[in-house]
Formats: sequence, structure tokens, C-alpha cells
Amino acid sequence: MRIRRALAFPYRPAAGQCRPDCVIIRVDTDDGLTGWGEAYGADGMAALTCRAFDTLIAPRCIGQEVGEDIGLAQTIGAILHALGGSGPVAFALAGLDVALWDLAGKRRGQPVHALLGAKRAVTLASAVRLDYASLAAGSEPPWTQATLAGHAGLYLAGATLSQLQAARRAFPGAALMLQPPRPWRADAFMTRAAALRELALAWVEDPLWPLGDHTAQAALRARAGLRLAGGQLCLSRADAWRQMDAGAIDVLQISPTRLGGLSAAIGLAQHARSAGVDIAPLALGEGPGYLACLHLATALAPEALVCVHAPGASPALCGPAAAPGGNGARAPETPGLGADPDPDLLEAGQQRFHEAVA
Amino acid sequence: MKITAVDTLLCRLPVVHREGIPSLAGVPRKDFEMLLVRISTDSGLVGWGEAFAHYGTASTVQLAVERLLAPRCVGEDPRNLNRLVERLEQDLFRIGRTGPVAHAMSGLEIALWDLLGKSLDISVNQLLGGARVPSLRCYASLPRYGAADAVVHDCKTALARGFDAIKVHEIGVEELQACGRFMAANPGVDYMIDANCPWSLDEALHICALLESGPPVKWLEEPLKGPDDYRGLVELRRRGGIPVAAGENANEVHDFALMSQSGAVDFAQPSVAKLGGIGALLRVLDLLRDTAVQFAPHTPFLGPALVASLHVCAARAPDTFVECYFLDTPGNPFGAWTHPQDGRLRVPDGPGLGADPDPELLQAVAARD
Repeated sequence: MRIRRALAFPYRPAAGQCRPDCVIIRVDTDDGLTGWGEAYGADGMAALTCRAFDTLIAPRCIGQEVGEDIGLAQTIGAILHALGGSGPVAFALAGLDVALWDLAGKRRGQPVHALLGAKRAVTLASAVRLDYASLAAGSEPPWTQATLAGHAGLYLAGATLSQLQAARRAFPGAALMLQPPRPWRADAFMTRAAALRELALAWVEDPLWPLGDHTAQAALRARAGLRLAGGQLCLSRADAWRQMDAGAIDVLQISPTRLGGLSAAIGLAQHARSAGVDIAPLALGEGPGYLACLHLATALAPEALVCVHAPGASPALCGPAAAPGGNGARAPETPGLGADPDPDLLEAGQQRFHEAVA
Repeated sequence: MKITAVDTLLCRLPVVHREGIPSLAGVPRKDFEMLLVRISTDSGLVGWGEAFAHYGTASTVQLAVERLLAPRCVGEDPRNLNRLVERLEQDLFRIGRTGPVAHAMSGLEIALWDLLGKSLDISVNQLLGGARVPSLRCYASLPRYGAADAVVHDCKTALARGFDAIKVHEIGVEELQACGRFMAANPGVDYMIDANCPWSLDEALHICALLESGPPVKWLEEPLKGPDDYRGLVELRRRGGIPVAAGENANEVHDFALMSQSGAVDFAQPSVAKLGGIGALLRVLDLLRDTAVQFAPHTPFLGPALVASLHVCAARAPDTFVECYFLDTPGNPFGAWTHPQDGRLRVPDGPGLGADPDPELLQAVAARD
């Protein structure tokens, strides 16, 4: 089976879905199968990730044999090693890798979690992401007890200390995870540490500016007495390993659409286990990236709390299987990732993206 | 002074081939792509920078400048360089610490230094305390031919043009043996090998064993597959017996602290056009101070990125050996400053980088698509 076509589509979710842009990857083989993947496209990256895929990745995919071995993204990544272990080229490669796993599952008639070694799907505990950065200044967060229903926790993105304290009062028993609005300098973080400790957070994510000094973060972690998470912002697989080895984090957040796809996630999860680091897959979005994370968690970390977006007002790109519900997340049992993007929704999301840019 | 526009110009410099057609990342190299970042201001001064754009990545870097950087710069005073760069780093930390967005930021940063110097009517090396030397020694950095005859012939050409140091990019045993024989016959010529990340540790150790019987190798560059596998480099350095160089693919400045502290390299090779510009080179130099690691910046560039590196070396590291890409590009609009004489490049002393492009040549090589 050879790759006949490899495409990248920028996708903007419908208004009210509260999800960032992403990039959907499509890989067609000459035996008529189609694999779907997803690459990181938030923070203004969708156009760049698509450009990198179209100009650098797709031409190196066409005509390539894909079979049992899911190594094409790593092979191309080795050729393009000068273009960054993170950033648009790396994101595009991660999306390709996810699509190749979807293809492999479809070819073998098995769900991806089975390819990864799981016997069956399980219901995963989830934390729902609440985006404080999207609130109008001074407005009260709209979230209620119903927001938490079916979830084990809240993943608070961009919340300030006072917003966090309010969330703790409103949801006394829930696991609370904080993604700070932006990392702090060490002294600024330490002045907040006591207040953060009182909130009994499940973790604080990437707290230290400048980023990347894992030894400094390890020292801070010991002083602050807080559980820290990281991984999304790692600049390469080796960087993620170093972060774990340095003792900089308690929780590794695995984001297959950013760093190496599912292939890299296997090694990262194994290393986390051996380093005594917990795993928290980031099953964000409503497409192939979300599904990939569910399969990953099912096979490699069934006990993990997966972070999901809130259910949207509109149908999810990959249908009900990819609609982050309130009753736990569960990987589909159907072959591959288990649900393809809806062609009309994909078209509409692309159109929204292009209209917004124009 | 306010920034009125930030844009890019992609130049395709036709390469005159001396020996066969070299390749880069498996693609035949018929021309050399140089991506310029241009900052225009309301004062009429224009700053020029250059972003890493090899391997066909120019259009992605261009999008980064257009969509992510330009809107954040227009209206700012370019002389507040530190503040502007720091704000970009803080805004783009989820996407811009490495890869094409970082490359775009590097090109922008170089252009900001050019403007700062021009606004004060002094050169970038003077902004750094002044050049300690009028010119810098260079080594000829040959393209990869993958053919023993071609690379040996090119080595001869380099010596004939006055170089006394050569780096080859060959990884085949036959080519390396041919280069080794040539170097053995030309003692006194510094010899470096840049592998570009092809081998496992065992494969690299095998190559080291093969090289051991030949003439001295000043450094073996990027021998291992993972460009930031610093632990692997420590091991290779310990067991391979050949000095190791790396750094052009460092993720960020902090990687140089890791490399020097762990003993991963003998030569550190930050890239001005990838790592964050002139400020990044200065930070790396600070990290290397009082260590045994030598500074050997990555400069296979033929425009502002090379010139920016010359200013930094002349002011802060005058013994540095500068990489000079051994490609003949007669239409280069920066040719007056990037074409070595007798194996040396002189340090420009005009305002800013002191190396504005020749407008007619620029017009001729600007990509039309």
C-alpha cells in the first residue's frame, strides 16, 4: 500500500464550541483507505502547520509504502531534523503520525488502542477544560455544577488566583488543575505558592519563566510543595525525557498533536512510568486528536485523568464518538481511531477559517 | 522612530557548480535560498536581517513573519530591542521557542540590531564594544557531494583559494577515506567533518574508529541522529576519541548550558539565524565563559546572518573560526561582505551591520513566486 495523497486542512470549530483552531490531516492510500490525523493549530499556528505539511511533509509522503511499520513520520522527521523538534514542522509530522495509526488500525480491522496493546476500551476519568482567557474582562464565569457533571475535575486555563479561589469554593470536592495565564518568574511563583497550596490543586502546569530550565523547576517544585505538570511545551522528545529525569514534574501531559504523534507517546509514557511520573493525556478538540488521546490513555494510562473540552453546542467534527460528553470518555471499538471527520463539517470549518483570515 | 512595516524577501541565488550537483536533505541543490527580513521605519531607515530558511522552509518562515511577528511590531520603536524581543518571546512561548517561528524571530532580531546601529550611526560591533580584529579566519564549508572525486577536487579548489581549513559534509566511508587521504597529504590544513545527524551511537563509534587511523579531525559535527541527544554525545565523546561539535539544532539557548555542563561537546555551534539572533549568540558566549568549550557559530549563510555573526565574533570572540559556505553565488547582493579573500572575511565598519544589499542584484535574485 502506497500513499497516493496527503492533505492538510485548517479547521476552525463553530462559534460557541470554545475550542481553538486545529489542522486536520488526510492520508489516502492506493488501496482505497483513508487515514485521518490532527496537528496542533492553536495560537495562530493553523496556517503555518498547513504550510509546513503541504510544502515539506506531503511531497515526502507521496508514493511511500505504508504497511505494518508506522515509522514514516519519524523517517521524514529525521530528514527535517533542522526544522525544530517543536513548531509547525513538528506539529505537521505529529498529525501525519496520528493519520498513519488510523490507517494501520483500519487495515487490520482493529481499534488503535488494540494496536497499542489494550484488550478493550474502558471509561476514562475526565477533567473538563474551562477557558478563563475567553471571558470578557470583569465578567463572572458562567460555569455551574452542571459543568462538572460526569467529570472528575476541572482544568482551569488562564485562571487568576482569585478566580481559582472562587472555583475551589464553588467545586469543593473536584480535582482542580491550573494552566496559569503565563509562566511566572521564580520569585513571583513563590509568592503565590502558599495560596496555591491551600487550594489543594491536582497540579500547576508549566509555572516557571523562562521555560526550559528543568533543573531550576525541580528546585522550585521542592520549595513550593506543589504538584507540577508539563510536557506540552517540551521542545523535543529528548527534552521531555530530560524534564522527567530532572524531577521537574509530577505529571506528564501528553499531547500527540504537538509532539511526535502516538508513536512518540508510547516512549514518553514508558519513560514516565519508569521515572515515577503520572500521565495526563490532553484529549482536546473534537476530532482525530481527541480520539487518538482516548486510545492512548486506554492502552497506556487507563487510570489517567484525561483533559477534554466541554461538550459543544454543535455536532463534533468526528461525530458523537468524539463529542466530549459528561459521562466519561471512551475510545471507540471500531477500526482505526474509530470515527472519521464529517465531510460537511470539515468543509464548513475550513471555510470559517479562511473567512476569518481574509 | 516607529516601525511601519516588517516583511520578507526570498532570494534565490543561482549556484555555479564546480563539481557535480551537491544535495541538501536528499534534494539536489541548484540554488541557494536566502530569506531576508526587512524592517521599514518612519525615519526612512531600513533594517535587514536573515532567517534560517534551508530545506525548503522559507514559505513557512515567511508566514510566521507576516502573521505572527509583523502585527506585533508595527508601531513599536525598534530601538527598544530588548523589550520588543522579550514581548515576542512571551507572546509566542507556546509556538515560538524553536522551529520556523523562532527562525523568523531570529531574522527580525538581526534586523533590529541593524536599525539600532544605523540610528546611532555606529556599527553593530561598536554597539558590542568594538571590533578587536579587522577580519576573521574562515574555514571552507563544502556542500555534500556524496562522490569522492568531487569532494576531493573541491578540497583542492578551497586550498587554491587561500583557505587553510576545510569542513566536509560527507558521511560515506569511501568519501571520508578519500578526504582523509587528501588531508594526510596536506598537513597543516584543519579538517572537520559535519555529518548532519545520520548515525546511532554504535554507528558513530564505528566511524570514529575508522577516522582514528587517518589524519587528525578537528571536530566531528552532529554525528548522532537526535540533534539534542546530549547524553549520547557525552558517551561518544568519551569513547570515540574525536572532538565533538554541535549546537546548530539546539532547541534554545539553555541547551548550551546543558551541553557544556554535561560535557557533550568540545565546540558549541549556535546559529544566529535560528536561535534568536545576536542576543542569543551573546547569551551563549556568556554561558561558555570559563568553560573549555569553544565557540564555533553555525554560519552557512551568505547574507545578514553571516555578517551579524562576524560582528559578534570580532567584538566578543576574535579567535573564532568562521564557517564560510563554499558555494559560488556570483549574483549575491551581499557578496561584497560575504565573499572571503585568502580565507578571511573582513568585518564591516559601516552603520548597523554595514552590509546593505546591492539594490540591483537584489532585484535580480528576488524570487518571483
